[in-house]
Formats: sequence, C-alpha cells, structure tokens
Amino acid sequence: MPSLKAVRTRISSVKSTQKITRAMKLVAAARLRRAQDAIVAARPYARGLSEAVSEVAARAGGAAHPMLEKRSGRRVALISITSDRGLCGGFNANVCRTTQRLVAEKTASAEVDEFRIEVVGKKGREYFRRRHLPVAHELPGVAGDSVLDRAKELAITVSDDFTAGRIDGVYLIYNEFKSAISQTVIVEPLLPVTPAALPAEAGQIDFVYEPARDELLGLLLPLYVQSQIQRALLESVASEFGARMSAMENATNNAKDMIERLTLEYNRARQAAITKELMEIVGGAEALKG
Amino acid sequence: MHLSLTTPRGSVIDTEVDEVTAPGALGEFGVLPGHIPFLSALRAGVFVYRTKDGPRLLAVSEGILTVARTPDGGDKVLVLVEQATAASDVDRDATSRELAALDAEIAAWKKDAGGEYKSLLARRDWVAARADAADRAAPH
Repeated sequence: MPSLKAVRTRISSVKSTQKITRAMKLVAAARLRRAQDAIVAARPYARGLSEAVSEVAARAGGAAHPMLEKRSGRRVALISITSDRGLCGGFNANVCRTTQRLVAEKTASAEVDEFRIEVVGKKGREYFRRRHLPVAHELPGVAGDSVLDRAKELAITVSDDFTAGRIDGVYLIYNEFKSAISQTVIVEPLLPVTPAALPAEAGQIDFVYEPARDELLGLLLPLYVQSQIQRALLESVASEFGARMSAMENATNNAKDMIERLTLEYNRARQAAITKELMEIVGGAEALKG
Repeated sequence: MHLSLTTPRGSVIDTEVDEVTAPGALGEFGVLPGHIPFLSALRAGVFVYRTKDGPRLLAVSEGILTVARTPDGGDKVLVLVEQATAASDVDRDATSRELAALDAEIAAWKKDAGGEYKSLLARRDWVAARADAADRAAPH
C-alpha cells in the first residue's frame, strides 16, 4: 500500500488536472457557441451564390465553363481540414484516417492514378508527413478571422489547377458539425461543380447578365467554390470545439472518479495507520500487565 | 425597392431604398425602381445606396448583385459580397498603412504566382476599396 503522503500528492495533482480540463471545457463551450453562430450566419450567402450559379449554369447549358466539366482524367486533389491543436478526441485522427484510407483504396483499385493533398492544420500536416503521403500544400489551421483568407487561397489554388487541367477532381474531407456531441467526417465532391437543379418557377424570369453569361460564370464559380470551402472550414471549427468540449467533459469526469478512488484509498490507509497505532498501544499495555 | 446585402458573416443591410449604385465587373452602374431582372458580378469597390435619409457609402469586396421582381410587383435587390464595411467605420490611416505593407509584399513576391499570391492581390483590392470609400465619404 502506498504511503499516506504519496496518495495525498496524487490527489492534489489529479485535482489540478481536473481544474485545467474543466476550464478547457468551458472555453470550448463558449467558442462553440460563436462558431455555431458563424455557420448559421454564413448560410444565406452560400445559398444565394448557389442559386445564382444554378441559374446561370442552367441557362448556359452543358460545359459552358471548364469548372463545370466532368472529366475522365484520374488525378484527384483532396482538401483535408484538421486543426492546429489536439486534445479534442478523435477529431483530427478521423479526418487523417479517412484521407489515408481513401488514398489507399482508390490507388489499390486503380480508380485514381495520382493523389495530392491540400492539408489545413498542423495535426494533419504532421500525420501526412510521417506517413509520406503526397502533400501539395500545407496551410495553417483556421481560427476566427483567417477563415476567409484561407478559403480564398484554397479556392484559387484548386480552381486554377482544375481549370488548367492539372487535376480532374477535388474533394473536401472535413468534420461536419451535427451537434455539440456528434461530428462526422464527410467526403464531399467540390470540383467539377454540379449545379443544383433549378426550381420550376424560376424558368420564367429572364435575367440580363453582366458581363455575358460565360464570362459571368467565370467570376461566379470561383466565388461559389470559395463559399463551399468556407462553409467546410466553419463546420470544422465548430466540430473542433464540440469535440474538445466532449473530450474535456470526459476527462473531467474521469478525474472525478479517480479522485474518489484515491480518497477512498487515502482514508483506508489512514484508518490502517490508526488501527496499527492502537494495536501497538494496546499491545504495549498488555505487555506491561505481564 | 428593397435592398438586402449579405456577407458570409450575416446580413449587413436589409432596408427600403430609392437608389443603388454598385461597382460592377464592367464598371459602376445604378439601379432604380423598375429595373429589369438583372444579375451582375461585382468587383471590390464603393457601394452606395440612397434612402429617404440620404446616401450611405460602403466598401464592398467582390460578389454579385441580382435585381428581381417580387410577386407583388416590387423590386428586390440582393447583394452577396464577401466583405462589407460602412465608409464611416473605415480607419483611413490604418488602411494607408495596410496598403503600403501589402504593396511592399506584392512587389517583393518571389514565389510562384499561385493561390497565395492571388489572394494577396484580392486583399489589396479590398483594402483599396475601403480607402476609396472613406475618401468619397469625407473628401479631404
């Protein structure tokens, strides 16, 4: 049995760990609320752009722009979104593993000839480097204001490569925010852009376009792609905080269980010591009686 | 005529207006009530809308503007831009400094002209638009 002092030190160390995990949980919860608001706020913009793209693309027909073109080529770019910081459960590992599995499967079945990964976040960068996966660009993780810049940079990179024919498809891999306790990794096609079907009544309005339709598509599509990437980044940020919140909640609970167990052990040890002392006194008294 | 201006951060303007002037991809244009259905790309620049209280100026980054008829015969102008700031909120000195820093960065660019470079140029356009809006709102 460990000494009383050792158990006491142990308890106080677990207690301070618990303080840290509880504080991290509270911070994550506060940030999560802000991140959720950001997702909701971004929706009307994304919906508006998506409607405009469908509208223009439907009237332009078929392959009016290279970014709408379905190609038979087999070079694929994957945008994997992870975070810079850990302590958020399986958040980063899930994205990394999904990416790795996708690369392994598609390479084995010869569906894709060449992969390149655009990785966002330090955790993903470390993972892919260690496993020597083909990373094209490494970008820092996003937080708050950097979402827009990062989305723009990624959108321009993949749109340029796609239009120039250097890649034939782009997928987004990120944690979709379902709720504070549930995030799922999804793989979503980004390019070529598949415009949503137009609602029936929309066909009657005949818009005047400026600049002309094809040129307008050239301006609209990059904005649309950017808004999609931005949405994925925002979802990922919210998921990260959700995941960290649950992870820290679990850690706090585990610490609580541990403290209970250690306290029990401490009390037992203390009781044993007292009993032992009593026995010694009684033993001594008995001996004196002789 | 109803104007709503939305960015990825949420709605910025949602009000009744008399006139809108926007920085179109092919040049500045105005929209008055009764305009034909219209869809235009916008570049970064100065956006003006006039209500009965007078004109207001905003700096906007790239995006789109659509004009559509509402079922009750009114007009609805929908503007989707990445960023928007009221001219009165622009810190003119800060934008000058930012502009100088970005120009220096652009001039010194040695790497490939990929996504990073182009997003730098876009950022410069946005800063220039803000400076422009501030100048037009309060001429020296």
